[in-house]
Amino acid sequence: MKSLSYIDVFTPRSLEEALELLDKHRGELAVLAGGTDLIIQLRKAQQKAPNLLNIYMLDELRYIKHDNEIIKIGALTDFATITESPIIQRHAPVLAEAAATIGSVQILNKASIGGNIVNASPAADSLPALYVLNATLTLRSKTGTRKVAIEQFYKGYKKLDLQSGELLTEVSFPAMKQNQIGMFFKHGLRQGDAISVVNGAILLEVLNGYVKDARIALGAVAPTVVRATESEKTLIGQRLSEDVILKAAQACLTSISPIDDVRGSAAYRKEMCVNYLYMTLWQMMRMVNL
Amino acid sequence: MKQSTTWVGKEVVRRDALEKARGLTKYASDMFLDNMLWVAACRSKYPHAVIKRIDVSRALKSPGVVAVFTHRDVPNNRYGVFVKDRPVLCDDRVRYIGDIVAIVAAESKEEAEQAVEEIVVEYEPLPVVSDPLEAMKPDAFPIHEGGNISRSTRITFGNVEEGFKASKAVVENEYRTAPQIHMFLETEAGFSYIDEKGVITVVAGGQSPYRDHHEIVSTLQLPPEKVRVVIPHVGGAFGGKDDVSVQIYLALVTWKTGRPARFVWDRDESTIAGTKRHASIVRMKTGASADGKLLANDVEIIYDTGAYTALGHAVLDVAIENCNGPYKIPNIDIKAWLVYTNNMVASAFRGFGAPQVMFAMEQQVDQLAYELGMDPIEFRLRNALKRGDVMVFGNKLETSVGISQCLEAAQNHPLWRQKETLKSEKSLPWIRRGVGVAAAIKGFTLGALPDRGSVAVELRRDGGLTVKGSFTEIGQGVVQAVAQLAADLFKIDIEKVEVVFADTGKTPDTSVTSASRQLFLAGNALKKAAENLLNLIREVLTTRYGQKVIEARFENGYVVGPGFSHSFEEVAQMLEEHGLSREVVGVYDVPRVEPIPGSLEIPHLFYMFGATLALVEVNILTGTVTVPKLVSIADVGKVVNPQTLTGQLEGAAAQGLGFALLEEPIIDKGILKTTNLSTYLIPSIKDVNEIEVIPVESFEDEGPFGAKGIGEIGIISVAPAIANAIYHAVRVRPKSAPMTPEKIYWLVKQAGLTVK
Repeated sequence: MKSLSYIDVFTPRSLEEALELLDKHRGELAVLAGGTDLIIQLRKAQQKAPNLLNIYMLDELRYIKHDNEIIKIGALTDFATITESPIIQRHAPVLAEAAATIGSVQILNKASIGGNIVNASPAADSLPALYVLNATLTLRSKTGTRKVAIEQFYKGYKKLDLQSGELLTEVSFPAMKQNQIGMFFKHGLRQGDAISVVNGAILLEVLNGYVKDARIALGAVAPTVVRATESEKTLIGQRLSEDVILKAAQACLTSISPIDDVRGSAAYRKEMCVNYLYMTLWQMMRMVNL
Repeated sequence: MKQSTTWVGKEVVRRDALEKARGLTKYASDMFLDNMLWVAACRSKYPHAVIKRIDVSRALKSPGVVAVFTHRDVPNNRYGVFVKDRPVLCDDRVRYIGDIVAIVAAESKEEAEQAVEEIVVEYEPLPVVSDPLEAMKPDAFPIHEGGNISRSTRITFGNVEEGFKASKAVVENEYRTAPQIHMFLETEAGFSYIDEKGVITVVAGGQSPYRDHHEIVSTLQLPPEKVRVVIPHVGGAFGGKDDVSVQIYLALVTWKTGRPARFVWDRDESTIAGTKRHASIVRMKTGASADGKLLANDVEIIYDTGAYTALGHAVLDVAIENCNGPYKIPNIDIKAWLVYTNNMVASAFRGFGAPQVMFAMEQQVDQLAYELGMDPIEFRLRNALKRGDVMVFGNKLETSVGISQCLEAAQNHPLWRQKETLKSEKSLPWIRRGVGVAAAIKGFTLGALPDRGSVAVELRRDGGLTVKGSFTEIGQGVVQAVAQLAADLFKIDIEKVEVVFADTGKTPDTSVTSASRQLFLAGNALKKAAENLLNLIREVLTTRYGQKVIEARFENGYVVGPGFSHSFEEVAQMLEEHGLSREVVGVYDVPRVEPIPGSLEIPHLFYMFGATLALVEVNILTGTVTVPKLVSIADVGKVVNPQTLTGQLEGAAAQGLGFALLEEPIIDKGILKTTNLSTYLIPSIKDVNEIEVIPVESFEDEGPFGAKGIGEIGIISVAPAIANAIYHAVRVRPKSAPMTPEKIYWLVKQAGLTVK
């Protein structure tokens, strides 16, 4: 475990000041929010740790708003708040569900949604939900504001469309409609607080018993979160049936490229993707066909 | 003989409960001294290598560094309880990645760690032997001079071939279990200083202050009176602090620099360099007659001890002794090997070799019951040991045997009676339910090895008692138990009993706190102390009354007899006035027999027994096994403190769940990949559901107030009960623990189970 006593920590008092500092020290600062991933990574890193921009005090980045059918979440909002938020529970229950599984109570209280997005772990539990919600990320810099669709944000394993000087400030997405249902799933190797071997989210729009739209995102099975487009196609235009959901579940194999690691083999991950999609769709089928 | 008690058996709140709940208790890792040096270790970069050169010159010049020590600073650089095969600081070779080549003492933790990076060690890598089966081969690269077999033995009674011939059902299987990491909340930690009298004092988490003391003085060749070992409250041990960890290094730094020092292992250091439960390969062929009598057990036991023997020789004995379960079997043939590899060092862990073999044997027994069409509990009861029986090793069981009562409690439990209903209850289409049972046996005390313990009792001037013993408070509640036993033995209010523990400068040697022995041992030594004190008091009273006082007894804080009654305060004064000590020592020698040929400590005279029932839910689409309910039944002789007992059995069940389902160190050619709590998963609160504890009181005549040990018995039958429940649920036999989702998934898939 490395000591971090040599690094400098800048703690701005406003977003403006934070953007100013990011601009001034272009490419030299790592952004510290909840720190639940970053500090551990810095202590384990072989190379010298960068100086830190500590944005934890910027309360202006903590909010959840329902604004004209768009849900907006400030990047520093912690997962306990997201899980418990009536707005999220009502308009994006799939995200509330995912947020609750991110970690222990201590982690939920500390870790921020912005941190989870920028840390870019392929196994991050909030990402599949944000993918199926079609989330948009707001990136601010001293010179301006840019919006990026979450799917465009990830360019490869831990490769982000994030310029030096830019700070993720907000996540937004359309509120779920009455005829949309969403479910999150996660396969951890124990019941509580485990990093996902496979995770995913499904969002279905159902009209008169037929699937009008389907969005499925899978995590921990590729360098980034991926959409299971073949599975989605299999579902769209169909009534949910035992046969259809089984085919849709199996169709995910074309979208994923898992690897072997300490948590599981690639072969097992593939089977888990299929089986979790099946189990989750089975439960959604029950809800739809009630 | 059963005695009425005031304190023993009562739910008395533990004396350390409030201070621990409030965070006031000081553990070794909480204590900081002025002018203290921080110690950091330079550990091996290879699982196996020759050391060509060690150069510490740059490290010595590193900022804040006060000293750097290597093997040249250790006068006697080999230690070990059974085999002196382990260097304090490596000289010729490193044998695993936890091996320490040098230690740095610096003004701060950061400076010490920085200087470690500056130490140059030139290695010549050697072949890494990571698989115990490979290590056993005659042409395997030898890790130690004598080869890779640290110990092997064979013990036979009867004739197994005859037994198999007479058997109706014979099952043969190979089982494997992974090394388990103790994962105590407090890692290996301690500090040291030279006291005002010039004594090097080491305060560190441990399980035996006198053994730690011995390891320090023998390696550093210091006069025994110049070293003192203190073990404060320990944040968990489970056997993982039975061996020395930081102690010798702390003594070395303080001895050489004259300054206080602190050495606390990080979590990843602890996972790498702390001892483990032995990984095991157990092959078993077991036969039973048509009427359900076990007739023969042919067993091969291979335990991976890693780079050094540590307590492995004794662990192997416990494996041999317990691999036949709590049953009568006329024919046995047991071959056992303790094998060196370049893996992490294995040593003591709750159960001490028993959980691995019982994972095997209790599944064997289950299979035989199924094959013979018998109820698994009925089958076990038919073979269960009874008092007066001759055990597998030809020894007669003359102490208390509660296994039948444990099994009957399981048989009568609703979980067992309703197991078929539970199994067929409707739920999600991919969930299967099952109920399993397993039995357990384990000797307590050190068996046929010499086992003696002393306890001192001081009758204080204020009429209270101070009990002094070197037992260690590792969270198990021994201090509370000792106080309750003392209060009943001396018939005094428990509030008047003080307990001083685990300090070679203040307490007599009660020997190791392990083998579920300390309550039994300290309790019996206390009994002797009570007799000794009463004899002393009789002597004084005889002088005082001018006639021989034959009858005197403790009663309600007084010493009473015909025509007299004296408070403890008065008695304390009388003793002083007669020039007699107010302190007595009780010494207890554990009754034992000679070990059977081929063994070190087999047989024990005293055994604990137990049984576990488990309800499991298996998700056949993921392989995930959950345990909604677990029943832990244990023959404890006599309950001393019901709350502590519940805590011990629930804790053992949770740790057993981890061993059964989760805890899997991944070792790649001697390199541990799972060095933190994110990759090495122990049960979280969500993994531990309802646990019901049922104590069985078989009353052990030799035990204090009938009590036996309780520390280990609760873990032993957890994994096989879960395995048997999985079989009941999905009809596959999981022969490898931990039974992780991935392993169970492939087994279930292979069996062709489908969603209903």
